[in-house]
Amino acid sequence: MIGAHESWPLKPLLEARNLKVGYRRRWEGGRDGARVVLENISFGLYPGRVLAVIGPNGAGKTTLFKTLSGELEPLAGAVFLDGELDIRRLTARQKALRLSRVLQNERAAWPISARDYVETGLFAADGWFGSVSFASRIRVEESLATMDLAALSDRSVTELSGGEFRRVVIARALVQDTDILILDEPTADLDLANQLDTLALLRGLARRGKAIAFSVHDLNLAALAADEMILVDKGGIVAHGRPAEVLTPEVIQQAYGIRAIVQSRPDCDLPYVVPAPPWLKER
Amino acid sequence: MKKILLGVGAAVIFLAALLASLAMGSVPLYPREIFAVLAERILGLHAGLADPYAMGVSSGASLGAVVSIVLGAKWGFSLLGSTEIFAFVGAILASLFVYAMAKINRRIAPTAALLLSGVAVGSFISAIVSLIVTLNDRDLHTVFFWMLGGFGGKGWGDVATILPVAIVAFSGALAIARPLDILGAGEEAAGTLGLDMKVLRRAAVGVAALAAAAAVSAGGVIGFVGLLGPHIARLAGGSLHRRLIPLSAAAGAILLMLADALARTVIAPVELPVGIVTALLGAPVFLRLLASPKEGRVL
Repeated sequence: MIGAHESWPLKPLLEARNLKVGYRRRWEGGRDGARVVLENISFGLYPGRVLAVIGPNGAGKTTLFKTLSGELEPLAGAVFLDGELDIRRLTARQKALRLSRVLQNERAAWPISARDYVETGLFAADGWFGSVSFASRIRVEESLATMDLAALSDRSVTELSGGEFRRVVIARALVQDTDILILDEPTADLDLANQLDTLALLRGLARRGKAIAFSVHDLNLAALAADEMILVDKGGIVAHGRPAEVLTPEVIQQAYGIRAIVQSRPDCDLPYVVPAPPWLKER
Repeated sequence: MKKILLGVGAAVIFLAALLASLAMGSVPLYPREIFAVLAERILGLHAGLADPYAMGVSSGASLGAVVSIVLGAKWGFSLLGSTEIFAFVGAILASLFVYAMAKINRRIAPTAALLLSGVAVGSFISAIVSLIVTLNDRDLHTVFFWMLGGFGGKGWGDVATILPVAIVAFSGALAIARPLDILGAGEEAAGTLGLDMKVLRRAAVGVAALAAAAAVSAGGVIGFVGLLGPHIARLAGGSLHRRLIPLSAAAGAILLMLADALARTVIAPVELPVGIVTALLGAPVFLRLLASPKEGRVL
């Protein structure tokens, strides 16, 4: 592991300790039936901090997020909430009150309005029989406005474009109003302006004390938004630290197998990655 | 408060449906009409949750009814309503069996496993029904007409029997309306929103089995109303379950009353089993909807 995150005075809201993540193969025979995806994973999500998780396709980012949010049981180690509470001991509803997620590929099964879809984020707070309070309704409208969906709120979710639906899903996560947010590729399907708006939103949420983790493929977007980065590859964490510590030509070469030029941005000292494929010389 | 309003709304729609059919003059208000409405109220309900054929409920009810008819004829017992009771028990047992089978391979039964298990168990039970009927061909006529479904000869007593089950099933379905809405995001997303799929699946299967068992045991196997009713309701009132469930019940009730009116008048004085009418008219309409690009997507 290269680098380590700088000291931060607050305790982590969510902490992975020695996680081994992967899938148990219950029905495929074999006594030691488990497919290990990542091992020796330890890190924390701190209030006020944005963590970007990067890594090649299939490296295990989604599996890590599933384990982190208690959806998938770790093969070893544990995820702790507030430093002491094993997340496995929480019910689905208790988890949804503390932690919201944006999944990588969600699809709406039947047509309901974007507003009704966003309103389902209140389920954990209201329960099976609860009715939606006035304050909650305002929160729904606020979240719709934040994601620039006010004009689309009465449209059916099945008629929205990929990017519009993505914003609906993020708005629903905002309605959940949890102090931990885990977003799997929140910028996928979004145009450049919406990508930047979403990242600005994540930074704003962090400033209000939330702990945020998101995965992304665009290394430069990751560097723009993240206080801290984790690169997962080949069954573990390859690098962990500030963007400038993680995004080096050596690390990128090792994980992605491509040559890259890393510079400082002209407008600030954040790193900027320019891939340098071999066929470029031939042109 | 909202729930109460919705309940009142559903009751108003229900009464309006009755009055509308009365006004059309084709359906005189007999107990059997109310019975039809109640049976359909349930039939329409469960389709939003699970189809009785797919769940194996219909074949379970048929097996119960056939056993009752055949054994009743053989051993000479004919308790009042014994066929209905046997059918009800058969339907409940079949749906529990389907659910248990679907659960064997995984900790939680996914919807696909439930449907596949339902088809397999349903075919198996249907084969047993056919076998029993073949070996006891004296009762062929009785069994045949029971399976086609109908409301001929039903009275207030039948209404009283089905009413409590109808109320329980209807309330149960309304109670899970909100969790069902959340399921529209997919099971994984619903889980992240705090929905316990295990609890919801059990509740949904329970309500559906109860409703379908009551309807099928009382009215026989009446096809396509359960598919068409919710579909019409969805076109009229959208996909939110708190509206969809009462609207499906109302839509199904109206459809079944119309079908019953047709069944009794087309070749009067002979009365057709209502199941023939619903399937003959319902299936083409359903296929038409399926083929339409706009409505087909909502199915």
